[in-house]
Amino acid sequence: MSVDPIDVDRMRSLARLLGVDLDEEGDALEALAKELEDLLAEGRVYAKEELGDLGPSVQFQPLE
Amino acid sequence: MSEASLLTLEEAAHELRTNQLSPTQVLESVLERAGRLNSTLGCFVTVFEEQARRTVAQLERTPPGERPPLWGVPISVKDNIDVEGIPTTAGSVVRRGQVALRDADAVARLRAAGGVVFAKTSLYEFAFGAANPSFATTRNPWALDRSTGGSSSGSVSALAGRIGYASVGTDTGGSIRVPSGFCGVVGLKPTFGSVSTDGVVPVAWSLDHVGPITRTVRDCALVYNAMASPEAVQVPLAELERGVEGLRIGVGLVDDELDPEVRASLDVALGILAGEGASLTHLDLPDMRAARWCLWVISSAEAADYHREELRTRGGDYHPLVRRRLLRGRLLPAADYVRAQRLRRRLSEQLTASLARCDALVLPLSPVAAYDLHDRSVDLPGGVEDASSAVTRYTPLFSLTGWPALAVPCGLTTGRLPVGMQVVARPGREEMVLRVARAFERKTPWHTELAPEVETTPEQR
Repeated sequence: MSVDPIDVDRMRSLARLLGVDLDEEGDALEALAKELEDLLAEGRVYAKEELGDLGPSVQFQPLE
Repeated sequence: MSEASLLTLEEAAHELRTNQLSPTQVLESVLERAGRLNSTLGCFVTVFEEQARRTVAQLERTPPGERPPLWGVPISVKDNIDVEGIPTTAGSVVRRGQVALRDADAVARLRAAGGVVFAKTSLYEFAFGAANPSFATTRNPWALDRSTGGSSSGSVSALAGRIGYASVGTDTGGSIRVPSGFCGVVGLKPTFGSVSTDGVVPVAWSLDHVGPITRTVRDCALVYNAMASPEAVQVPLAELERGVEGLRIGVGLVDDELDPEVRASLDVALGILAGEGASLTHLDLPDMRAARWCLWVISSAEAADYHREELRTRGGDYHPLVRRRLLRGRLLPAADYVRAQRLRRRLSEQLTASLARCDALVLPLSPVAAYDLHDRSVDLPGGVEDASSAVTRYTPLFSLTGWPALAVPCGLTTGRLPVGMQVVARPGREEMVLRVARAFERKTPWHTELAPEVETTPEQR
């Protein structure tokens, strides 16, 4: 299972919003983005395999 | 090697209490060894000789009938744990110069039991992934070019180098157990909360454990009893001698995914436990890869919260790998942290169900023995694997669930590198973990083997 590639520029913007200036070279941004992608993708696998489909927590009655 | 350094903690404590050795003799022997070997092993960040001598001078005034169990026993402490009057660097230049105002709870309890704290040991930066190059490289006394594992690297190196009789380590995902296995010593990650983390620099508050590292199982029980919180269950030493006859021991993951030499040592170890009368049952355990994922997500997110301010203002002072892990935690979606916590509960339920009919569980510690210090990957039967992923294959589940887990030496490879085994039991059952390990230790020589590299000083090479 895979996730959409993380856009490095958007990742940098998000980090700046959180008060952290990412360093292009020192932080190896492509590698950081790939690590995050892998972690998120792995999480989807385990969510499906281990947690399964929990279904909606609230049953909605259709409006009449 | 001086005779005192060959004693176990239990033997040294006995000789001290019965006046066959004095606390000054024992401390000076340890300080001499520390002074001689630290340049080779890099196991200590700070050795505080004068503070330790003052402690001993006070202890020597204790009347013979009032001497507590660890009276005069030199103990080192990982440098992310506070010792009053000494800097707690946590292995990072970010914290350099921050002097602890009081002892951590575990340290205070060890002092009350008569322990003499004499040094702070090296570790991975903030116990989170890699050693900062501003600090000395910690080396494995079994082979100086091999990894000690981490993060309690200095504690295990000192113990294997026979400098001091016990060390206090911390374990968030395997940081007591894996290095203990790599260096052939005994390390206990106790039940979550049974030893206070008060006065310890956190990695991840919901996963951090504090525990003892020693050279024998009985020593481990003695130190655990001294440092545990009042609410924790004490381990009577007599309980450790009951053996494993009639116990039902689950066995997990001793399979072809291990390095063949590690597998062979574990197979022999299981045979010994069966020979002692344990009934062995192969168990299906929860998914260890899922446990490792949970550990990465939860520890990264919780660590990022603790380091939020320094990451913003002093980010360049962190080791690049540690900084990247913290950034990863900062950028992870909150929903994934929640998902990891939900999965953690599921894994805990699965583990409880797996062990429903067993008294204890035995499984590997690491798929490989200590690898080359500079290697970033290891060769395994299933292919090449990232080293840090490989060595955290079997330990995170018990960090997530808080179950007590112990590393005990169970063999040597043909290259004379230690192999470790992991023993686990239900929460609060430290006595069961130690009892199984002790039954094994009684029948094997591994705890008496001496690491070869520390017998030769650099000047003699």
